[in-house]
Amino acid sequence: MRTHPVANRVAVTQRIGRINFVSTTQDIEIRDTATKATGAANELSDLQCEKMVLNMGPSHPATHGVLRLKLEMDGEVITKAEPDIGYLHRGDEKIAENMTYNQFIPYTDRLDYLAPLANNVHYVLAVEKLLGLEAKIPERCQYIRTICCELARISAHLLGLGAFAMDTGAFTVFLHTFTEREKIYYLIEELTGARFTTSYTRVGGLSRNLPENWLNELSKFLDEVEVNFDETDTLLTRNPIFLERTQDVGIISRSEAIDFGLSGPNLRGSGVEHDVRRANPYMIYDRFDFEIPVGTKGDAYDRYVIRMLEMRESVKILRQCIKDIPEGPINVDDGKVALPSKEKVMTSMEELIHQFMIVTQGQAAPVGEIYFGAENPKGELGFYIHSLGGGTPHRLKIRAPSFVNLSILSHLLPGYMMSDVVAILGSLDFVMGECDR
Amino acid sequence: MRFSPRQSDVMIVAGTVTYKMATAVKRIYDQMTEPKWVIAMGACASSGGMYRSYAVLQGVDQIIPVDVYIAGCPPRPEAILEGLMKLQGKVAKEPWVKNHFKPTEPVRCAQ
Amino acid sequence: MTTAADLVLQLKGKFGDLISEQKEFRGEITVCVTEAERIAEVCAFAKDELGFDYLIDISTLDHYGEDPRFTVVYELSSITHQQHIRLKTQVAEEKGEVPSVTSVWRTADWHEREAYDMMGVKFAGHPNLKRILMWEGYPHFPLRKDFPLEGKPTEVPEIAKTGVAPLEGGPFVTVPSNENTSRREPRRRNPEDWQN
Repeated sequence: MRTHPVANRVAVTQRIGRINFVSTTQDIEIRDTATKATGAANELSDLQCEKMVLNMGPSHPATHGVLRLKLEMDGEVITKAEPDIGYLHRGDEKIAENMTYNQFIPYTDRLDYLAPLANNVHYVLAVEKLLGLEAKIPERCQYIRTICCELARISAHLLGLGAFAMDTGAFTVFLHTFTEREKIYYLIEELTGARFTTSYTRVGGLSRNLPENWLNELSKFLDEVEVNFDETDTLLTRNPIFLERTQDVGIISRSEAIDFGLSGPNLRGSGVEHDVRRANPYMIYDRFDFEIPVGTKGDAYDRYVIRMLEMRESVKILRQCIKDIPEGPINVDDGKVALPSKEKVMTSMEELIHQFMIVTQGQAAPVGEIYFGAENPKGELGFYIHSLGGGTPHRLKIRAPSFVNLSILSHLLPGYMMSDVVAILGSLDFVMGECDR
Repeated sequence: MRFSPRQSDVMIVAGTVTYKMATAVKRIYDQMTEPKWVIAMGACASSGGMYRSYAVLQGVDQIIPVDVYIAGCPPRPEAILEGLMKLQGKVAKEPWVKNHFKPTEPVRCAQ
Repeated sequence: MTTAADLVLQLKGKFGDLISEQKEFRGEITVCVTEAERIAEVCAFAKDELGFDYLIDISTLDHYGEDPRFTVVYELSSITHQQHIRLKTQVAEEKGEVPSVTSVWRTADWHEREAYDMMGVKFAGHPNLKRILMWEGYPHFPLRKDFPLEGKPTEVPEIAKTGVAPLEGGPFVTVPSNENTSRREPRRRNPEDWQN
């Protein structure tokens, strides 16, 4: 809602009513002489040019995580916004230069800490691309990794939508989505041992196989979660209050979205049909039949609808995975990459040496550099690894989708009102752990 | 729900505290009114956790006094509930009542 | 469909010797721009003529002990052609400055601020080159190889105070070599380790 600045200010005075910065004599002057309107409005603008600086501090219930926004406001309308990040900067990239590739996996859990399985899978895929193992990963391992990614996507979108709805006032939706997340936590705990921060994948495979009966429980969960999606739909999608708060709010045009490097549902909301799973298919995504929802207007409501639809598509992919998953090994057959089984390590010399080398020195990577980008629930998560040989990287750069998505805030927020800020932040769905690394 | 430090009794520091965030945490702690307690939740808040780096405060007890430490990364829900119950037990034994109010002494009038 | 190799040939056709020979590794094409001063020109051409409208990432590398010390890496992608190339350019430590590409892609704004914050490479023509992850007034550049992992004590009054993290000799990662244990298993990564 960008109106002419002078007209806006005059309208603001009328709305404020008794809180007038103008003395009564000047008030009469404006009302009497319409020809002096512009001159008087300019004087009005001189008197009213005191803007308020509001600090939405790092500790705030409506900013998701530790984000600080320095807002300069004219009444309710924002004129300048400057995000201040770095309150959760933990030095992951420097830590990575001192760790072997397997040792860094727990740190990737805590990047986008709402979908840790997806981060694990994408990091391990990047390292395997560097080692040149992409074609050798067994089928069963690829299917299980896809299941992990899509389950993480459902989990992350559930929380994103729940928090977004709670910020716009719908508290029931938040509780609804969290009951489903508890079920996902239970499934993940059976699979990996931890509800959260799973560290499930390893370079060259996975840490453990699927437990018995897990796939049946997953299918039961998928039936239940679809019912929950329908319920959330009835609560929010045609709710007039929600529509009022999110339609035409935070509009990002197509060219802006590409220019600012947005990715994920934020980019697709603005009409750009770009999903990394379709554009550069990695793993086995080219075998599955799923659609990519694309928005039209680029406002907050479009991004909400896209997330809802993406969750349904993830359920479709999961059903196809459960049907087609084969039996077989879950680790690569190469002794220098994946840890050999404990019986062989205790009895045979060669496996003992491999175990020692992998644990202490790490997998021997070639000299070179790669970039691997994958579709995280929040956007395109990329790893740029520059290696000078050996088991530790020389430089590991994490291209975090939330970092790039937040850069649009100083361009997007001016012109909207204070309460729209909360809706916009919720619709952008960022995570500070990923943004600051 | 009122999110205001002035009206709260317990501050739960959850997650990693970086040096940049430390001033904000200290300011919120100072804004709380007595009596106040602090729970350090998780490994990162208790001692810096697995982040031994240039930007992470190695334990929030370097800037504010902590009453209960909850271990885990992240702590299980049962662990958080036990931490809260331990804090309740600690509050029940607090001697501040005795320091601020002596009910056994008779009130003397000024003479 | 135009491949990345065709697009790189067009780039070489326009700029000639400024663009080095392309290197291909694991299916990705990397190209070096020999003069850092003209990187903005190359990027503008890549965006306007070749269709690389999406800048994925800007990273920096620190080759401690070599000259030129820093490398700035640009990952470019084209949404229309679905192709990806990498541009690299070297920056010496004394000069320490590269022209900014914020006029080409607006997303470069925050990426360049982070590169300045972490590595100390300055970007000429950047609208707002301030620290983004660390605070204003922090005197060091953390991702440089001569800055230790545990940090150095600093103090900026009213803003932040840093200490030194207790590493207790770790992180324990061995260096591949055939020498004796104390050389193969260093207790701590020192800057000298990167120089051989």
